[in-house]
Amino acid sequence: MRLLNRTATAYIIASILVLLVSIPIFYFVLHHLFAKQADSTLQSRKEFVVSKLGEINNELEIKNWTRFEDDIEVSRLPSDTAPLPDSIYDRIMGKDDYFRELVTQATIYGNPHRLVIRSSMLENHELIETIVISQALLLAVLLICLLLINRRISRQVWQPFYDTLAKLKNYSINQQTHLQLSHTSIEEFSELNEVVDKMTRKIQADFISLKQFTENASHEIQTPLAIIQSKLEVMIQDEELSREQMQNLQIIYETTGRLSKLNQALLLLTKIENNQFVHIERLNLKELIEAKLPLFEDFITAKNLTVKSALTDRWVQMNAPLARVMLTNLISNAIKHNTHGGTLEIILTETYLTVSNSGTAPTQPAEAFFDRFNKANPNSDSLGLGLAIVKEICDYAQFKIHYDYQGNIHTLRVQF
Amino acid sequence: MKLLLVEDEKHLAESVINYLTHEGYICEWAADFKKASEKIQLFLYDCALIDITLPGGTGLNLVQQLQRLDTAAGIIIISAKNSLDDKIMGLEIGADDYITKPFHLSELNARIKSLIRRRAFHGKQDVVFREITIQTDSLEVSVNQEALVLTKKELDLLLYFIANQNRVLTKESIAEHLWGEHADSLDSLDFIYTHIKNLRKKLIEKGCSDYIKSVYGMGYKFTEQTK
Repeated sequence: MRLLNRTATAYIIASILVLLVSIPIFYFVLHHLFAKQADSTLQSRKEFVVSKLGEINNELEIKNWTRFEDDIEVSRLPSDTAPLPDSIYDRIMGKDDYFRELVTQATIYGNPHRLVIRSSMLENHELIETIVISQALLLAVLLICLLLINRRISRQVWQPFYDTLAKLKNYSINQQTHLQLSHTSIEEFSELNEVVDKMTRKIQADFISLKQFTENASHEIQTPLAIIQSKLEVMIQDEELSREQMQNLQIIYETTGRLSKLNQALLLLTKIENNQFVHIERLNLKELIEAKLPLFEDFITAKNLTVKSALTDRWVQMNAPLARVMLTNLISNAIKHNTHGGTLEIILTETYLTVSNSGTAPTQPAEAFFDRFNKANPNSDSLGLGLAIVKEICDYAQFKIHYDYQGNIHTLRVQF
Repeated sequence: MKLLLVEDEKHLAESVINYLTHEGYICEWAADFKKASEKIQLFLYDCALIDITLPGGTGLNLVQQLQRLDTAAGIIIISAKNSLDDKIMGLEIGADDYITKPFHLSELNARIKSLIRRRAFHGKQDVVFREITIQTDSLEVSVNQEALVLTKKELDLLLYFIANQNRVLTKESIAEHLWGEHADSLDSLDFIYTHIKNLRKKLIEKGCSDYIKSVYGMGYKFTEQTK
C-alpha cells in the first residue's frame, strides 16, 4: 500500500466515523432543544387552561369549551384517584404526525380530571431533518475537500522521495554515470538524497576498483605464464631429456597452457563487464557466420555433421571482436556437444539467431548452462566458460539468450 | 639476418633470444623505450619485434620511428591478448604482423621467417628442405621436381615444420597455428594427429624419408636426423 493511500485511508475512516457519530448527536441535541421549547409552551398553555377550567361548573361546559380547543383533551377520573405528577412525552399519532404531550391532573368543580395538552411537532421535526441533512452534506463536502487538499499537498511534499525512488529503481551499478538526484528544500529528503548519493558513489567506486583489480590481476598473471611457457618451449628442445622428464614437462606445459587460457577467458569476461569494448561497428551477422563456418570445417567433417543454415542479412551495432567471439563460442559449443553424425543448424532472421545441435537430454536446468565453470562433462578439458562469455556478450549487446531442449535437439536462441 | 627484440620482461626476452639465435639470427635486445629508440637510430635490422607496453613509452612510437627512417626492417608487434585497439593501431601505422602474448616461440619464428621472405625476397624465395620445394607465391609443392598435392592444412603444417626444423613443436602450438583461436574451443589436439598422419603418408609415398618424428607425446619434430 502506498504511503499516500495509507494516510488517505486513515483520513477517510476517521471522517466517516466522525460523520456517523456527530450526525446522530447533532440530531438529538436539536431535538432536545425543540422539545424543551415545546415543553415551556405547553406549561404556559397548561396554566392558561387550568385557570380557564377553574371557572367551569359541570361536565357539559367542559365539553362545550373543549370542542373549540382541539389541542386539549379533558376526561373525568374516578373521584378516589391519587394525584399524579405532570408528565411530558413524545407521541406519534398515525403516520408522520408528531406531538409533544403534557398530561396533568386538575380538579374541576371539585372532581379530578385528566388533562392532556398537545403541541404538534411536525414542523419542528421537518426542520430538524432539513438542518441535519444539510449539515451532514456540508460536513461531507468539507471532509472531501480537506482530503483532496491533503492528498495534493502530500503528493507535492513526497515528490522528491518518489523521484529518488524512481532513480534508484533504474540505477545499475554497472553504469558509468552517477545518480543525479534532484535538489529538494525538505530537509529530511535532502538528507536522504545525500546519504543515498554517498552510498551509491562508494559502492560504485568499490565495484569499479574490484573489477579493475580483477582485470589487473589477470593481466599481471599473463606475463609470468608467458615466461613459464617460453622457458618450457626452450627446455623441451634439449635432446638429452629422458622420456620421463619429457612427460613431466609435457604435463607442466599443458597445465600452464590451460591456466593461461583460463586466465584469458576471465580477462575477457572482466573486460566485457568493465565496458572496455567501446568500439561499435555496423556488422552483418550473416557475413560473419559465413566467414566463420569454414574455419570449423575440420571439426565438422570429423564428427560427420550435417550442417543446415538459413541466413538472412541482419545488421547489428556491435563490437566486432565480441561478435566473433559470440559466434565462435556458439558454433564450437554446438559442435563439441554434438553426436557423431548429428546435425548442426544455424538460423538467422531479422529477430533472432538460433544455433541447434543433436544431443542427449541435458542433465542440468536450463539456467545452469550460462553459469561460469559449469561443464556438461566434468572430465572434459574445457574451461566451462564458453557460454558464460556468450551470455555476458549478449547482456552487453542487450540481446536475450535462451536455452531449449526439444526432441533430442539443443537450441541456443539469441533474441535481438 | 639481424633482429631487434624490444621487450621489458628479461626472462621472456632470454627465451626468445635463445630460440631465435639457434635459428641462426643475430638478436639484439632492448629492454626499454629509450634504449630501443637509440638502437633503431644507430643500426639497421632486418626485423624488429616490438612489445607495445614498455617502460618509458609505447611501442607504437617505435613503429612510427622505424617508418620515418624508411628502413627495410619488417615489424612484428607483440602485445597482450585482447588489446584489439593496439592491433588495429599497430597495423595502421605500418607494422607488418601482430602476435599476442603468450605466444609459442615456434609460432614467432614462423612469422619472422615468413615476414623476411615477403619483405626481402618479395615472396619469391622458395622454401626448400632437401628434396622438398615449396613455391611460396603459388604455394605449389614438389618433391624431386614431382608435384605433390596437399590440402591447405597439410601445406600450412609442412611450412610450419620446415620453418621450425629440428625443433620440438608442441601439439598446442601446432593446433594454434592451424586453427588460431578456434583451437581453444575444440578438441583440436586429436585432429593434428590425423593431419600429420596424412602429410607423413603423402611425403613417404613421394619418396621422402620419414622426417616427422613424434616426441614422447609432447609433440613432433621435423628433422632429417635418423636417430
